[in-house]
Amino acid sequence: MATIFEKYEKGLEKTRKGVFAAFIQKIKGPGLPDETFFQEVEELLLEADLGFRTVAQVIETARQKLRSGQTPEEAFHHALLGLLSPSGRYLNLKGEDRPVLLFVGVNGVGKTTTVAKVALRLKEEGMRPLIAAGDTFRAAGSAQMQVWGTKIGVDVVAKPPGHDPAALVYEAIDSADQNGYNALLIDTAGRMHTKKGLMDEIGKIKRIIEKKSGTKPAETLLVVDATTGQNALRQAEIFHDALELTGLILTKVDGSSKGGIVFSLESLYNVPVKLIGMGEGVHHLEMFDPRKFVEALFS
Amino acid sequence: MFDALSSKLDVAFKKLSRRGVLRPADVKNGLREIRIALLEADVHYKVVKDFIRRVEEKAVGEDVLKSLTPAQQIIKIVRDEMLDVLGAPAPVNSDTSPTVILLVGLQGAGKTTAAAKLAKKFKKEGLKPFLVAADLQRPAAVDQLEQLARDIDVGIYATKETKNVLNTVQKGIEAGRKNFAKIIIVDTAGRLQIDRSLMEELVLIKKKVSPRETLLVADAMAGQDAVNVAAGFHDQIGIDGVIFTKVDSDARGGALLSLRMVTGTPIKFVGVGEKSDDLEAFQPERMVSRILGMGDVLTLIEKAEEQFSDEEARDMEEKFLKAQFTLEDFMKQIKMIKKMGSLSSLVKMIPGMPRDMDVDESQLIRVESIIQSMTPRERRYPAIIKASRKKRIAAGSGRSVAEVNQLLRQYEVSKKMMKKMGKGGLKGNVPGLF
Ligand SMILES: Nc1nc2c(ncn2[C@@H]2O[C@H](COP(=O)(O)OP(=O)(O)OP(=O)(O)O)[C@@H](O)[C@H]2O)c(=O)[nH]1
Ligand SMILES: [Mg+2]
Repeated sequence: MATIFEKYEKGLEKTRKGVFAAFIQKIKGPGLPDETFFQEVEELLLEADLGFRTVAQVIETARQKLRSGQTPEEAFHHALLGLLSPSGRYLNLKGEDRPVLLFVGVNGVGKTTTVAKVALRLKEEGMRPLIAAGDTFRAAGSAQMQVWGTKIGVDVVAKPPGHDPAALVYEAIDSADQNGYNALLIDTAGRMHTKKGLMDEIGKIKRIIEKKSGTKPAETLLVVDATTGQNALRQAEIFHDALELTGLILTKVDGSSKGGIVFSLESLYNVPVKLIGMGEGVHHLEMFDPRKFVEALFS
Repeated sequence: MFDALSSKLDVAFKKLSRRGVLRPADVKNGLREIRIALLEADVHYKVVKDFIRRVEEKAVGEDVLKSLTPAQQIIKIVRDEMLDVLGAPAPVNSDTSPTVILLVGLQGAGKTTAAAKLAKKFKKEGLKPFLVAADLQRPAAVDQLEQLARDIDVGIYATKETKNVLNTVQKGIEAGRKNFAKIIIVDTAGRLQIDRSLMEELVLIKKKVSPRETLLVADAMAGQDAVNVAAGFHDQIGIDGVIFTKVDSDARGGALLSLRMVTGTPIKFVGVGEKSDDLEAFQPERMVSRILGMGDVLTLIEKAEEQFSDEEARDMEEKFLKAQFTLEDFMKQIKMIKKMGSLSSLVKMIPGMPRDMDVDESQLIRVESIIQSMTPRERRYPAIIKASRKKRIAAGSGRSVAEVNQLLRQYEVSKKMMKKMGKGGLKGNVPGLF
């Protein structure tokens, strides 16, 4: 537990030294906040990708809390924390014979890598996961998943390029059940949420899972790149609409981006970030803990 | 991509135009809306500040106050300023033999796809391209580029024997030379601009092979941090231009303004889809027109022209005139459209079309599969397709008889339409399907 926390803290260091550090310095400064102060805070939050509306909301809430006697630090701490989803952040793996985890997202966000990371984590926790290499579209998409499978010692169901991904998923579920796997992770091709045909395709894949298993996928996870700006909101909106997301995975948190889009994402769709990707290595996967996330910004 | 921004600006300007006379306070109000729109479009907040200041300086001048249509005047100022920020179009320099292009960028930005797209583009222009697979980091990245090279039929240097990137790049360029390639495109592994050792690797590569162009591949969906990324790459290795990818998303793409304003680096190409044809030259006027919601007929026409060779066009025109248009031609048309890139991206360029309209591309595939299940004779003389043939075609294509009927009806309608519009000519137009 300690190690996970340490790693997590370390990864956030960049965030802390960057814009949020300056932000904290400001709100910890002496005297009562004036308008310049709020303007500066606004800019700092904007630069962290919180987005215009959310920033306005945070500042409004913080003003109220300040009026009711909180310190600037408390006020902003609460204003930000209050935006995050109250839902649980553990992967839903219990209470299912063979949970299916479906990973979706736009192109290049880190789906395939994350599938490998999560599969390894499950394996290390004593489960017997199977991976379905559902990206039969992108050149070598399936090969990429297979290389990861070999690396982490997890079996991968793969088909030749161009194979119908829904059919592949169908077979993977059979294979999982017949061969005693107790978790199925499905990688999917990157799809732009603006392409109706591709969104229909992923809807179909989800329906096949439901039909085959008689139940919804245990997790339908939207993978979001932390460097994404306000478009992440559109992605979440459309994917959520099509698939009823159960969680988000924020990747590339090891980069210089602040990942502030999380605040808007969670407050708008009430879908919690369940995991964060902190690097390209297969162990660079951490739990997302909102308290620590926000606290780390203030400490 | 800029749809939402342009509609926001629309709203802002409508508010302005409702007033008879424009006062400095009105300008301020209008600009407030523009500021919000730009921020929501992911333009870096400092860039927004600077941009708004520049527009305001001009807008509050006499021109606007004297103008009869203040909203139009401001649109023009905003437009001119944006054009100014985006700069003049800059082609990829291909004046050295061979010309080495090094693609760099963050993980997942779209470098590998962009490499193949560039290769295809140069191939079409008759400049022999060659690819070098130097992403030795991401699993199967080499396989990916190899497969793309095969798809577009372009030479490639790819090896899985080593992890030595510099060595691979050098050998790859050598192989390209031996291949008499004019353009050698080097794909590299994605990396964070804050990753010291990986950035040093690029610095070294650049020093050793002196590429003619080092292009930063950047994602149109990027947020505020795009500025730091671009500055990071530019400061450490020096970039000559940007390829802006995933413009087929509905991201407003404000990063584009930021990249230019902060780094002064020209944007050379935009990626508009997953296919190897989905690459467009960056054209600031068109981008700004898009930002301001003016549609982009020119791009559409240009694309259509590129796909229809003159001969094919003449041939088809003749057929249209004589109404000899067969299902075979129908299928040819579909193939051309598919080559032209995604339908939705084409439709979006047509002014007056709803920006968020979705085109059902699966319908194209359906039509194609039905025609493919016909015999050549049936394709040429669709009139002979009666019940039993319909059943066979339906079974062969995995579609229903109703769908076959629908296609035949559609075909009849297009044929009639073509007869009517015969004299209108074909170039730049795709009759029958739109
Ligand atoms: N720095 C960093 N890189 C990451 C992280 N997660 C993934 N990547 C990298 O991002 C790139 C894209 O990752 P993929 O897993 O291939 O992304 P994808 O969503 O499967 O991509 P498509 O299938 O092409 O849509 C790869 O180079 C990964 O190594 C992360 O948390 N941090
Ligand atoms: Mg993938």
